[in-house]
Amino acid sequence: MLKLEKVFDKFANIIGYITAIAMVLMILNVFYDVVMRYFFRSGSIAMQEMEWHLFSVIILLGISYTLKEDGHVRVDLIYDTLTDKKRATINMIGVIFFILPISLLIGFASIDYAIEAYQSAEQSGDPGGLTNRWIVKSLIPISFFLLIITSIGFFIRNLNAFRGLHPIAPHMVKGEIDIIVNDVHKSEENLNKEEK
Amino acid sequence: MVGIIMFFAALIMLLFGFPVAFTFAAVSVLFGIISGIVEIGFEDGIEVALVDGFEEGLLMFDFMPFRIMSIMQNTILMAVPMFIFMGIVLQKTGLAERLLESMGFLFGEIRGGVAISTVLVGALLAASTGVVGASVVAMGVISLPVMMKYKYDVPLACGTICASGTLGQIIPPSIVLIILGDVFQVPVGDLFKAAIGPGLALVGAYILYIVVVSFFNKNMAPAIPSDTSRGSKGKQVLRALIDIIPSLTLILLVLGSIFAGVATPTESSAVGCLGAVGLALVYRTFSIGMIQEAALESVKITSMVFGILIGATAFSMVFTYSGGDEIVESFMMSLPGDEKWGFIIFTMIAILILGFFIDFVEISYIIVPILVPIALNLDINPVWFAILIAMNLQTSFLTPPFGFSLFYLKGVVPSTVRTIQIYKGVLPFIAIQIVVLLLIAFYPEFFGINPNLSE
Repeated sequence: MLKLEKVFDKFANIIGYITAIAMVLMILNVFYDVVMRYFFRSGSIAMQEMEWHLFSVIILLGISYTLKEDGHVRVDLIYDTLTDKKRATINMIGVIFFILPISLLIGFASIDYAIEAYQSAEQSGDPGGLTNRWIVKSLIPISFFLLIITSIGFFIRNLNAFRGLHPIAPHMVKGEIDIIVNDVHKSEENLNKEEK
Repeated sequence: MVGIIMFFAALIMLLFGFPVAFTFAAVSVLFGIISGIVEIGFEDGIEVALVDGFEEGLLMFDFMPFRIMSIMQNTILMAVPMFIFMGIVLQKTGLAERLLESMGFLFGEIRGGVAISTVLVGALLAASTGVVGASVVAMGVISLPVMMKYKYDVPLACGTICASGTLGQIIPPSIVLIILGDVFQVPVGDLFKAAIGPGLALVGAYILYIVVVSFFNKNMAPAIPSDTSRGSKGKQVLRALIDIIPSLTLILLVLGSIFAGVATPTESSAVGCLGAVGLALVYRTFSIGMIQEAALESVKITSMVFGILIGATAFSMVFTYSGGDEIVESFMMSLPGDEKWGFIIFTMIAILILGFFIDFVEISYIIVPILVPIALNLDINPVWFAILIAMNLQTSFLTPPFGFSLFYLKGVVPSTVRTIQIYKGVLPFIAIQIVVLLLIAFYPEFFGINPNLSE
């Protein structure tokens, strides 16, 4: 089971890398459009539409990666005081009753939505815009089915935690603090070096 | 009525601690079905009601792809990940550490001096990085030991750090303001501009408090003996300026271009990202690994926000379907006193209380959309109302026991500092926030905001 957990984690990490690349590309894309618009007084509608296509990749696929990283905010009023076993139980129940129904519902509803766009060869309403609108529309069902896959991984991880195979990873804030403290110490060291 | 029950059911479900985004989504599916059943009614027997109602309720979710599509095409919100990215890259250049080192002792020789410097650094970080957690941690690791070494009152030191760290929520460019701009359908630039006065007022009020309290209580924040090894005052000021000017210039360009109407916040944020990477090159902190880390970190925060937005979209769809918004509106209109002030005072208190338990993102996407049409009906200027809400939400970062910045500070304080000392320390700052909030409510013109919608 631990091995299986690792496979799912790897899968989610790949999604994470895709979104990270989309993030960098989006910044470059918007920057390019700004430069074209202000310095060359031109710009292509297609490139401007590309901006929100990349943005969609980030926000839709990112939801799965963030689940794996346990980065979705919780109201931890009670959760924080519970034992690992109870937390794992909440997470497993949550996957089945909270994540799966809505993902299936939106996932299936949006398949037709994407297919319709494909069949009608929907494209941007603006001249010079991107064609093949179905590609970005199919991101919606894809993201929700990916969410189902990563939530299975999340379920397995919590099942393993429930069986006492490993502790539950510290929740977002605590893990993050360690990283930041590390960064702070690194910068301080650099500063001291510079002074010498 | 179903809508109102749904609202409270959601609040209770949140307490289990499962991620908010999915909780809202699940509650809306459940209550979508329930309101479908109620809509069909039981006249044709229970079976018809259940079967048809179930279908009717789920049918609503066929609209979700359209709603999600419009979120995807929202170019205003595109600024959110980019401002986050810019902040994280700037933070990784070691800006906070450098500022704290160079400015930390600038006012050391006067009472409360280190605390005052901390507030100023907090304000500068708010404008540049805007990452609450990171600012609080950096100050907690660097400034807190200094203040403790020089026998500062521990609660005062902790409170100062927490409060200064949260300034990023109100001082532009701030994520809260972008989100509220989207919810209120007002230009983000207008909100940024309107937030400057209140933000500076808050900084001034913090400093005033520290000065006054350390003047009357000599042991609260003693003056530090001057140390010649730190160089002359002129040299220190010069060093501080050298440290801040590059980042400050970047942020002034970014904000300036938005205020001048030259660029949209989204465009400016992209330029700001490139600028921040440029600064990272100058400070030799640039690496592919750093960019990757910053990108992943921004993706995480971004999808956390948009996960909630999608969950909240489903939620408000069902809420509106079941007529919940009409009930809220008629309730708000029946509040005692002047309609407008009754509404403002009630919503402010409600948001303040909710802020103890839930995050600014949930409040912005669940509560605020219900309030927007009512505010417009009452001739309330959305910019003014949005600033009031932003100010109020900032307070929620400070309120024990779940205030965000308290968590971060708790994570890094030495074991001699007790949690209760941190709580005690933030109380006066919460009071200051509320006073400033009241000032903005009653004297908006002083902050350059027109309270009315009509001119």
